[in-house]
Amino acid sequence: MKRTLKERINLLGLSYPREMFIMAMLLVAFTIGGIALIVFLKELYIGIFVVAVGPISIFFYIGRYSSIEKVHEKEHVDELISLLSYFEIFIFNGNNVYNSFKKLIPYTSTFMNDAITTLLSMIDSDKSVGPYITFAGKFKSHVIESLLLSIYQMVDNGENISQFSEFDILFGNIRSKFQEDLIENKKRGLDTFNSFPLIGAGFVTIALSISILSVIGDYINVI
Amino acid sequence: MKNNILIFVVISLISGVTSYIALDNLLIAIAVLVVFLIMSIFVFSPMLSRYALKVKKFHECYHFINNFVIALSIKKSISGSFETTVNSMPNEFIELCEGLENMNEKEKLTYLSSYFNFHVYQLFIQIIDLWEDQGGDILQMSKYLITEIRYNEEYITKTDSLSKHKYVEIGILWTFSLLVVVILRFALKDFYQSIKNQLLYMLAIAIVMVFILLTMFLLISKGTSLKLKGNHHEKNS
Repeated sequence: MKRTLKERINLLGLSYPREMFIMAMLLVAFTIGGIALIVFLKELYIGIFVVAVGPISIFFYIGRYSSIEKVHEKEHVDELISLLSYFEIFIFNGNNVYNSFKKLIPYTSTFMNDAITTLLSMIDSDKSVGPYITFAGKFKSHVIESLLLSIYQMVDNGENISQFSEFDILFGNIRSKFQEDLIENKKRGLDTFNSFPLIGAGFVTIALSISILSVIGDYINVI
Repeated sequence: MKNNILIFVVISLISGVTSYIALDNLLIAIAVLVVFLIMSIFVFSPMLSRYALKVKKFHECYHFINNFVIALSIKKSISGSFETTVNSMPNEFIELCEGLENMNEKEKLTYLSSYFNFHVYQLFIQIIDLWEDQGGDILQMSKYLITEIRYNEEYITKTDSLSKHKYVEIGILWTFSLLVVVILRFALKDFYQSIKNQLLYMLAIAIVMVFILLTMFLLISKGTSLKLKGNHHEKNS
């Protein structure tokens, strides 16, 4: 189902009027800047370029919503994996699955708080695998589905220790992978900065080349 | 902190001098120097200090919980274990605990959750409560907690090293980029008098300086961001 821009902004927890205001301001600022360059500094091409940057900046500004959505989805999965570490501590220290989920609530974000509260209320009325599947469906990850199924099996088999061991092995592997991903993501994030100095140097070189060509052009005109 | 300030002053000076060489305009060079210094003192340095404090506290938290659990498994008493653990901590932490003399050891442990503002410490308190109520082997009871803290500790150590490595790498790359500006200025001295007052050239230098500041801000933001669960950013996702 295709969502409208307003729905997407609201789902991301952003304010629709504020986002619209920012976009309008971007458009106005670049337009005024471009017109000022043309009128006061007689720089026609640079002025047109600055005016054109306005709509382009809005295009990129709207494009960032997709990235924010992906970041949110990943954050939710990451948060759940962190919380399942705590869940494991509670289970191992004698709590049942229901109470362990309940004990997670003080450590959750608003999204996770709602998701766990819904899961608990669904478990109250439905003892099947349904609530666990519904809960896992909130996270776009097959890993989460496997973990939730493993937790359900624990419940279904009377929460005995052998089921816990199975969950422990599965979660142990996922937790290690999660750890590697955390470090790898940070490395990848830092690596993006490598291109910044090259862009800077390239920018100056281009500006210099254009300036020199315009000076040469002036000389030729004089001759 | 002092080292950070010194490094930022050097970066500001390099940027100011490069602007002067590129534009031959003392006022613009001073403006660049001042903007860099202001950003360094009021934005970058506090970001790094906050990060250093958070890392230091997590290291302390890791040592505290680890030592406490080991001491408790031997002494089987909270007060004895607390005393032994506090004595193994840095002086600053010992002084903090000396200020809590009117509390009993359990209250002190609970009070410390405002100092160690991490979820793992709150979980630790829950395990200690459980041990007090039901008894059992504290080493076994805290097995998963210790594993979780060790994961976090490893994450901090590795990402800290990655960040520092990247600061140096990007610093060197920007130095070479600024060198390009300086070299072109001397290599093209015949054209330089004609282009130094051109709007496009001035804009290019200004944009590069802003870009350097932006790189510093984003790089430090990324380098100092830590995914450690705690009350300081509980509602982050």
